[in-house]
Amino acid sequence: MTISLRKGKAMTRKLRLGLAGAVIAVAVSVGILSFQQPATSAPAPASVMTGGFQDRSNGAYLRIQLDSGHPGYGLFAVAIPGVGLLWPQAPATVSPESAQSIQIRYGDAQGFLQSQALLDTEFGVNYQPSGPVQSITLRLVGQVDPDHKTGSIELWVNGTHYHLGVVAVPQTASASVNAYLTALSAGDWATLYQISDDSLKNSINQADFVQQMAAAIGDGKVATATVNGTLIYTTSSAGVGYATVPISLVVTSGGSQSAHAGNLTLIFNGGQWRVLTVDFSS
Amino acid sequence: MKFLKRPQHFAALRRRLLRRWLSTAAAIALTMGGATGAVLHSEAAYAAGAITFDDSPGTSAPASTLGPYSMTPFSADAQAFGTVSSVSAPGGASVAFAPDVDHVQVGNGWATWSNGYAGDVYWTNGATSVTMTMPAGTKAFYFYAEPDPFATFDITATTQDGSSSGVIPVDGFAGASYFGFYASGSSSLETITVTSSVDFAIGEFGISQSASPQATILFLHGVDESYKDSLFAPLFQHIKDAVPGVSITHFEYFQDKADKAQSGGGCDAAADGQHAVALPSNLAGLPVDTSQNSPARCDSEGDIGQNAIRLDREIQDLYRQKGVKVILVGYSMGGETIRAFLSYSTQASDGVASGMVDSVVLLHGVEQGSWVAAAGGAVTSGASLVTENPFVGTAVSSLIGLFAPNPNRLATQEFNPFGGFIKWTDSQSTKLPDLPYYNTWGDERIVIHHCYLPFGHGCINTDVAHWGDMVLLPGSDNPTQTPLGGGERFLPNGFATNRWEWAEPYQVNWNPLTDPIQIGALSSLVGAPQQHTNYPNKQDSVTVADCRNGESVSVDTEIARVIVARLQGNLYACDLSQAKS
Repeated sequence: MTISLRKGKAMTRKLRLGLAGAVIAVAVSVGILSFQQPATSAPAPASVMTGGFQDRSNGAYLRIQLDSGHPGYGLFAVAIPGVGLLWPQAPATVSPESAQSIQIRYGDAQGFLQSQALLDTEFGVNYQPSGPVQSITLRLVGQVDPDHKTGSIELWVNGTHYHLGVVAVPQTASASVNAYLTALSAGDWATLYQISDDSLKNSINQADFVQQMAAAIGDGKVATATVNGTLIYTTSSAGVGYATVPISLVVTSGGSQSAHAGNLTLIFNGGQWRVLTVDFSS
Repeated sequence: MKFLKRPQHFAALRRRLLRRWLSTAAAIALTMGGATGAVLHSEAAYAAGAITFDDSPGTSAPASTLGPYSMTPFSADAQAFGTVSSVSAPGGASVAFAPDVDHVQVGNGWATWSNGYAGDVYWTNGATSVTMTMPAGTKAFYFYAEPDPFATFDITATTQDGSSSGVIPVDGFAGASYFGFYASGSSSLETITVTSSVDFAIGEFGISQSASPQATILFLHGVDESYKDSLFAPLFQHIKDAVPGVSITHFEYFQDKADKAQSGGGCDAAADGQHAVALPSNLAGLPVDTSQNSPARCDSEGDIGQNAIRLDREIQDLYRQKGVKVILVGYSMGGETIRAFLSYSTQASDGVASGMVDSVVLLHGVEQGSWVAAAGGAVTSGASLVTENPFVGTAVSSLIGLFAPNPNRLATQEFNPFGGFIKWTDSQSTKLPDLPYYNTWGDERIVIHHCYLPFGHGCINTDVAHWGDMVLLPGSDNPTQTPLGGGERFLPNGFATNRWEWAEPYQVNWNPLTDPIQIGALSSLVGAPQQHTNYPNKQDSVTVADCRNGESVSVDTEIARVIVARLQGNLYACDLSQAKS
């Protein structure tokens, strides 16, 4: 469908997609209002939370102040699904062994537990402060690798033992990249939904997602979708694993074609690489 | 049939219709000949002195407000058709015409108008100018005007101080156009003179008069503030402009921060806020804690229970002094104090909440408590917890300092959402008096922008954090509930024409890859005007949806409209179709 001959076909297509995008934005905004469980977080300023890692088996995470010049040096927090948010009454003893190994030790000593706090097992940064804070006896022994955001700790809460450990981010994202490109080319929005991250799935159901994606692309189609570079793996300072890769798309619409380049970002979420977003530069 | 009942006007109508058709024919001829250009209708509103002109409705129906004023349309004119020298205005006074005008009606003596209006209009009877003299104390007035000929002619309206509409081209064929003037400060409208090069009709009047205020305002500030602080200045200025005689009292808490001695430190023992509250024999269950009554303190962090009783008594005093009910306006701790008073007064059956309060306006009030207060040490570990919770870092520590400056003081402890005070207040809110309730709350969110297609299409924003106004999480509309994280929402029994709640949205897009621990996102939220501690001085930067029509409006303007209507004995009737939960 041509909207304006004076503006040329490419511009016409762009305008049409723009309208569809606007519709999605409005629809999602409305949807947010009925979001089932508002996830409220407390902040985690870098000056306090310079170190830590995420246990990728269950999303548990350790955050610790490793800036020796900070008054909170050695303060830490641990989030364990099913247990809650834990933190100490005083800083842990921090003993740097090498650039890749810092030993930490706390207790047995007083700590605090907010068992009803809603934890963020995907990004390792959000939590909803909820429920009473109770005093506990806390013990922690372990080591972290600040450079690689890995580590291993043993934790005792009122005598009950927990283990958090992590290995380097698995370099296995290519399968998820291919799945994304295949789903895009096929217009298989249900599959795209399935391989997306939890934060998306917590906000929109599959049927609505499929409907909105179909409306967004309209009569357009992704003709080709290819990897255009090398996968790069990173671990954020929150200890979360990400993979990014350049991609290229050719989109056809209204008889015309356009090429687009972008960066696909995946997040290691729930033990799998999942699509987070794509940043299209053109 | 209608004309047969009024034979004397039937002939007149016939003459005028004939005259107008002739005028139309002439206008069409001129247009076809290219002598008449297109007419653009100005929608500009501009101020001249203390009187401002506004023609924004154009030929559409009049808005319910003009400037800051709630407008009251004139009722149907009971006078007989024919020559009249005045028309009755709402409230009993009248608008006088000079010279006299001919009272007619659209469809009965006057052929066309605009916006579907079919009521009384006043023809100049051949004259090209008429002056309307307003009732005393008129703050705003609007009218429509339409030339007699079926063609476009310029019309100008001018007030007594020379404030003018400028030249407004008005189509004589169903193009009756809106002219509105409103006065600010102590000035008022006295006369409006309407002129044109042809005869015309005026009608469809609306007015706002400054009668004696029908209520008085009592404002309650937040924790660590002084009753002498200038808070919500634009809001109160709007109200003073619209109702010059309004009385606004600032509540002095027991142990108010304003009680600091002028010199030598300490508190001024003579200050009213330093006098302990005499407790009634029947506390009706209200938790009261007198353990910090001495030594003297002046930090606005005293026991909210005692301040609820103090508020109960101040409302009684105001009611007796002013002879009108009290509009309670509370920010932050003021909201919780009002809520505690409502529960106490209701349980004590003292008749104050139910008989002396006009309405309640809560601005980011502590409704269900604050997680900051809980984190701030009102738990087992005391004050040290604030700094020892590593999740409470620099971004929010400043909020704690402002909102819960001393976790050992009673106010902070009584903000604790799982403390006894909040739980009592909310549990006793099952029988709140049937008052107009209005509430505003910050709706700050962190969202992720998920995109899958080029051009920014196929993007879906997903919420990852609902922060409320940061100090107060959203919580629940139900005043009897006490969510463990606390909350700022308050809408007993849901939306109604006289019961409303405004969400104040603000969202920041978060990129977890480049801002993994949300430093940038949180900084943005902390700086937002919706953020709790920014709100009293940045309220005019926050927009909400007008509860009447959904249009975007600054929240200070919206709340001022609500309060001004109450002061004028009216209701700012919200439209339920605009309700969004």
